[in-house]
Amino acid sequence: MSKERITAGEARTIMILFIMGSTMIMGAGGQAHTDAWLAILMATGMSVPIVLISARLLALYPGQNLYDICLQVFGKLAGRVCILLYVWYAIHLAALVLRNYGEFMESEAMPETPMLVPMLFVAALCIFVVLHGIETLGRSARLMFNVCMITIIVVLSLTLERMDFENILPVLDYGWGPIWKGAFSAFSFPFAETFLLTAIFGGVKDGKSYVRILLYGLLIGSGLVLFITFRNLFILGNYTMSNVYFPSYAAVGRVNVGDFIQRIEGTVAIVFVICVFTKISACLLAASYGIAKLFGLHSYRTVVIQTGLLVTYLAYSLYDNIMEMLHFASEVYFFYAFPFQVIIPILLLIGAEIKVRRGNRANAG
Amino acid sequence: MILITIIAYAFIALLDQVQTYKDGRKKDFLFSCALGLLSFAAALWVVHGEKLPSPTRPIEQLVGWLFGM
Repeated sequence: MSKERITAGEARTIMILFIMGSTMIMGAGGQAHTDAWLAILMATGMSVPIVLISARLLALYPGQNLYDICLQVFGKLAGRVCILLYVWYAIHLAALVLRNYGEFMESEAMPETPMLVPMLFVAALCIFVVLHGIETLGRSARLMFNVCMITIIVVLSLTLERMDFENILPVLDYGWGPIWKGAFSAFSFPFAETFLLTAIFGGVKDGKSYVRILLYGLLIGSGLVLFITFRNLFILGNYTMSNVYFPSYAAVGRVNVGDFIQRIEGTVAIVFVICVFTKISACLLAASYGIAKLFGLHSYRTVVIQTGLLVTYLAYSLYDNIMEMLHFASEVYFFYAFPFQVIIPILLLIGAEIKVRRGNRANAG
Repeated sequence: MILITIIAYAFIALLDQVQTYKDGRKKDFLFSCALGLLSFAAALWVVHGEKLPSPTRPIEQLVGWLFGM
């Protein structure tokens, strides 16, 4: 496979959009109610070690990705099992995010259109961009991030008059229990999911430190998620936020400037589609790299189209309804994703440090 | 709908598998064909109104068993 490389800025932007992902519309840390902002801050703190592990692994094995590192650290057999697990995780995550998008389209935008149709269109876009490589994804991310930021700023200026800053009170009304629950939920979705990006950030062109790239990406991404959470809370209040499926859509839908500027929730949908597109593309790319590595294929492009289509069918079949989706996201996902986001990365780091130090000692001796 | 699916997959095969075959990558071609057949079967299954087996329930059961939820 020829080496495709992206710049540090592109890597950081992909990570920011990856974090924003479906969080922009679904919200994060919702179990904490009015203290969701506190849960997100705590989740960000908890995610810093995971991001540092990612950076350290990429620095220990320059030019290699997660799958190469798995083979180096765990050996051929265990390494392949690890690759298979992460390929499954990438495929499943892509399907989960695509389903979030499908549910949003069916609930809010196009209720009479079969869910599979908008999902297929987004999947086709993701397949197209992944076929052209990570460089195309990086450049697309840079461009679309600017569109996202402009949209967010414009919507902020229009929603300012609707904000009631007292909605944040009372702080710690429900105690620390829901805050911890929200923090663990926000940790697993979306912050710690960024470990999957080590599968595609195998080479960064301009030699910037991975710590700077990934840490800044995490902080900026979490800052944006926090900002959106505050906006939704100030506009909707705790009661409404707890009772809508898509708080951002509901919040922006309340904008009414002079009876002229109304129903601008389409802007939220634009940001959502951009973020979802980037996240699914990154997951699809990771899955394709993994499948190519696992089966010793010449190029990952061989499997992109079929993997993308399988992700779409899987997304369509994941749940029976939106309630099941929300239940899985809030109650089950943290436990399911924990091995992929915490246990295996820690084992990889320990194994990598031991192997590299032994290698250095052998070279020195 | 089944006819549309068949036409769509014929088009995909033309873009994907045929190109891989022309590039002379035999292993990639065979793997792509296998994955393509799986994807085609899944597509026909979905078009027929059925859903693929969902991993959600088994994952919930596994998590429930491991963590006593």
